[in-house]
Amino acid sequence: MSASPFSSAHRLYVKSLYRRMLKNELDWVVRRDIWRGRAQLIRAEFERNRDVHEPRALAQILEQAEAALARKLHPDPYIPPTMPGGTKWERNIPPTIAPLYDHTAAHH
Amino acid sequence: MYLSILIFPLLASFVSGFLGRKIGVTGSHIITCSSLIISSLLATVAFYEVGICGSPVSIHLFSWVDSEFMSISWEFLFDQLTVSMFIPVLYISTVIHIYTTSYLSEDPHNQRFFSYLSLFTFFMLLLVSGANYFVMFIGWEGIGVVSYLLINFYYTRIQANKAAILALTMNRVGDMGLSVGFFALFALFGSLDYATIFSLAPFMNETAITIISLLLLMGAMAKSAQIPLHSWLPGSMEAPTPVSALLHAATLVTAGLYLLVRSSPILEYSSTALLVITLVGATTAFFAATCGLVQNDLKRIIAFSTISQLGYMVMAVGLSQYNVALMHVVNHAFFKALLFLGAGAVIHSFADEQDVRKMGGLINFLPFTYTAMLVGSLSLLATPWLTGFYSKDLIIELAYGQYSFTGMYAYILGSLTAGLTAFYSFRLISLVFLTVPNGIRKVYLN
Repeated sequence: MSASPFSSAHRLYVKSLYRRMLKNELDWVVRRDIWRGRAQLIRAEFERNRDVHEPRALAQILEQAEAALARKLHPDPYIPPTMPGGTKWERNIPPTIAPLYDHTAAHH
Repeated sequence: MYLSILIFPLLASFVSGFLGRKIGVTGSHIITCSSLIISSLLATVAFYEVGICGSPVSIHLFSWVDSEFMSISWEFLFDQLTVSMFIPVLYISTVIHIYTTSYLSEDPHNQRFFSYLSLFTFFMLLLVSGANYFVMFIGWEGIGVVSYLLINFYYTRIQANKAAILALTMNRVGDMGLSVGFFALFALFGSLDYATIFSLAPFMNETAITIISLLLLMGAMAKSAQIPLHSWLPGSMEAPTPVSALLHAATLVTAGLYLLVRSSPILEYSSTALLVITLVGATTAFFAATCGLVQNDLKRIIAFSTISQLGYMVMAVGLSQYNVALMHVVNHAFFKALLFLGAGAVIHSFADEQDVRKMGGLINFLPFTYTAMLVGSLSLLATPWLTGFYSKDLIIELAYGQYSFTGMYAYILGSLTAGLTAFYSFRLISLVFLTVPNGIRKVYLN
């Protein structure tokens, strides 16, 4: 693992932002070949700010990026069927083995 | 024979529902499918006797409500309209029962599902075969309740709960209007029998007839998903695909149209009501088509297409072309059910993926499904010599031929809607079958 001047939390946040921007772009564009070009543009934006270390400047850049993402957010994002909010979520949940309400314990 | 057309699905429903554990999944499949097949054969004979040979049948069982002036009986009327509705309801229901034996083979609670499907079929048949508004209303309420049960089939899913409640409450709004319409009918005519009302309608006050017509329209608007009571239909796609094909394409949503066509002797004496019906229908057709353009869920695209086509049917009723509306009801029932069943095949092939953004390239994997959906789409687009052409284009031509403002409004919106229909239909076909594969690789390897 290469040493990085950024904390793990910060790196995870930036990665999360990048993934969300890519997913949002795919929701709009649909075709993966066209999306690839847009993904490269998004990556270029991130690369442009790669060497910014000053915390206040970073916070401002990230805030602007989040605002830009919020403006471009797709109203009907793709959710995989088995994920929360998907079309197959909570479908055919098997009944619990344990009783739903323990009457004997309630009386004691 | 005529009553057994109704009884067979009811018996199948009871056996599958109450004896489901005894007879098992296969027993439930066999009993319900064979009952529906028998009912369909009997309905075909009934259609030949009543529809083609022209000998309607009226069956009076016994009196039900006998209170001072109100006298309601369990009475059934099998005339040309009734048997014309029997054919799409029973044929499509039978086919969907057979389709579901394989579609839900990996789901639990099959017996419950088949029981509900057969019960729905019974209530729909009851609705179209009643000889008075009260028996029709029993069927009307019954299909509403069974629609709730079917949409809520996956009852552990909160979205299904919400969609089912939405469908039920929106239908209740319409039922409220319909009930008040029945009160008004009884107050004016002293009876709820079709024969009495339709004989006396020409002699009644036009304002009273207009009020009654608008109240009946309110009921039809909720059931047939007209604006503003349309939003339950896209939500009802929470139900399994066979339910969408049966209820929300072919049968339940046509109950409102049946009510309007059956009440045509009343509607004809109120030009105001017909004007309102035309405006509602044309606006619904256009609005739903615009919504269908931007949907990403496969079933929702077809749901909005259904709302749009229902708008066409209501528009035809408003233009006093009841037989053309009925023809479009029957044609639409078949090709829309085809589209939904094809969509079900597509969804199963993509491991229950419903978003068209993750489909594509399926033409090489499912050529038969592609053909079926292409034929259904072409019929929806009123391609010459397919069924949709004879009904949908005729509605647009008849709108133009009115030579009135509402006719021109209906014509312009109908024509624009036809263009939008072409757009979203081919968007669907393209994104699902023709475009580059966008789905998960594992799905294509299966």
